Amino acid sequence: MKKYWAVLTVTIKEYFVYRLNFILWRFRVVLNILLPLFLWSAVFDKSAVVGNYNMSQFISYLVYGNLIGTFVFGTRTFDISSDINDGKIINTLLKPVSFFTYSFAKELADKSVNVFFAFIEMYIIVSVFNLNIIPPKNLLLFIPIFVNSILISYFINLTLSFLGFWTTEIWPIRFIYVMLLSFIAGNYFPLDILPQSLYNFIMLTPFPYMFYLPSKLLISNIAIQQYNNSFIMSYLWLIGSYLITRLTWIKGIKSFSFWGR
Amino acid sequence: MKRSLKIFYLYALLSYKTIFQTKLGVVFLIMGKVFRFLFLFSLIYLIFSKTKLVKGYTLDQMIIFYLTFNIIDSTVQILYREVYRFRPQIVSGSFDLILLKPHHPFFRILLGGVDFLDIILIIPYVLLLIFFALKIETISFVSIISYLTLILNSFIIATSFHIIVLALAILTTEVDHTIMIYRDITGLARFPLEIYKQPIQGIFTFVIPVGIMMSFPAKALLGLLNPATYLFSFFFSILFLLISLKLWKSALTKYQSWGG
Repeated sequence: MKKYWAVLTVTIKEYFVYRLNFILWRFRVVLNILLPLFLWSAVFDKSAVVGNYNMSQFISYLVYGNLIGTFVFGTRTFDISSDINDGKIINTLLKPVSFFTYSFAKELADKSVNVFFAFIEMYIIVSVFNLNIIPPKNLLLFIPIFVNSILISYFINLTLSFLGFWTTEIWPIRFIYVMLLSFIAGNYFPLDILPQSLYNFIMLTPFPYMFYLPSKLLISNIAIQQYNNSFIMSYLWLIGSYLITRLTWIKGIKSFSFWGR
Repeated sequence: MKRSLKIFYLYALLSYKTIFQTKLGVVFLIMGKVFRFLFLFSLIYLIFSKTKLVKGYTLDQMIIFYLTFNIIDSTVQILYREVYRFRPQIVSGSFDLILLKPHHPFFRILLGGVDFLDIILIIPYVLLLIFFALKIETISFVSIISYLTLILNSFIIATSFHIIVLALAILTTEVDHTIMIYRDITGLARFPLEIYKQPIQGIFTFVIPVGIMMSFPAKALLGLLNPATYLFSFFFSILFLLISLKLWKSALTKYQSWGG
């Protein structure tokens, strides 16, 4: 465990080597929350309720969701595909560590740094624009679902990176994934304001379980029973994404060859 | 002029060949861009299914803002995609090879990577804009000319932004995503800037002129811009271009080449 802790701390230190780069990266994150936040605030100027949400519930969903998203979506797995393509992955494979735990330690470092700064940024946004945020609810239910979100996102990102064993064109595939994630995970609005059939369809995909479900839980007054199907789906996607990742890894590592190291 | 066009044509041809070498990539990238466009387009409809007006704008007006943003953004990406690849050339020192070429470096680092994927997308954007513009009752010949003039003005501002990004790549090799900051900032103007509270609205109009760049043309088309604002826009864009060129010249003197 000590060695993975070392990986985590070294990764955190790496971020603070390029401080200006990091500050500007955080600036970009802040910019991205502004559009949905103000767009929906403008809608609430004329409507007291959107779907089943009043303004403070809706804005709280976006604010909590942004914090969750920072932790869930922050990833270092981008490096893995390029490491596979240029052979650098051999350096990691030769180390006496589990590849999955090693990369998860780096992933956690990325997420921890991001979420630390996200809290500060959100606090500033909420204070400056005087946003009315409701206190978080259902924390006991939220925690396991939140852990699921992190793991589902991690496994899907790993799988995408492992495609590097077969192709160098990972970026376009990841671009599609990021687009889907940005828009149908619920980053712009709670998904249950969509027409019911569309909502049901989206809930069959893994995306809502990475953002919508944990964010919704934090603002929700609805009885737990109503979430049963979503909880089951969340665990199914967790198991499914893990199995796909392991399978891709096993197949990929068998087909992998490199030279000169 | 003829020589410049020939150089531009040659670089565009090379870019075309490079892009279409990876056919699967082309398909996925176009799919991703189409998906992003359709999602935000649907978002506007979703919003207007919940309310009739957003900050005084109707559904059709909001769509005109969004389409105008897409037309400007895509055209700029068609022309200036090479800027995204500039920083590695500075870090590796291979910018030397460009400086040695017998033409202005902007032909290579600014205009040298025409993005043909966005050319495919801009056609439906323009057709949709025409469709929705025709639904606006106040539209006139004058407003169309104003719109086109302000679109040209937007390209001047966008050019300035990209020159500043190039200059910053030389001045601070530490930052590797300056162009993405530009994209994120301009992305805020997908919808009218009135949705934002102050000071955001003021900053993104008068300090970082994304409002002038993305919102003013649509406002002109809708007849919502007063004549003094036109003059201000043109003055601001020329000033912004001059500042960017000055910054570029200054940055160039700081370039340290190989092993610097």
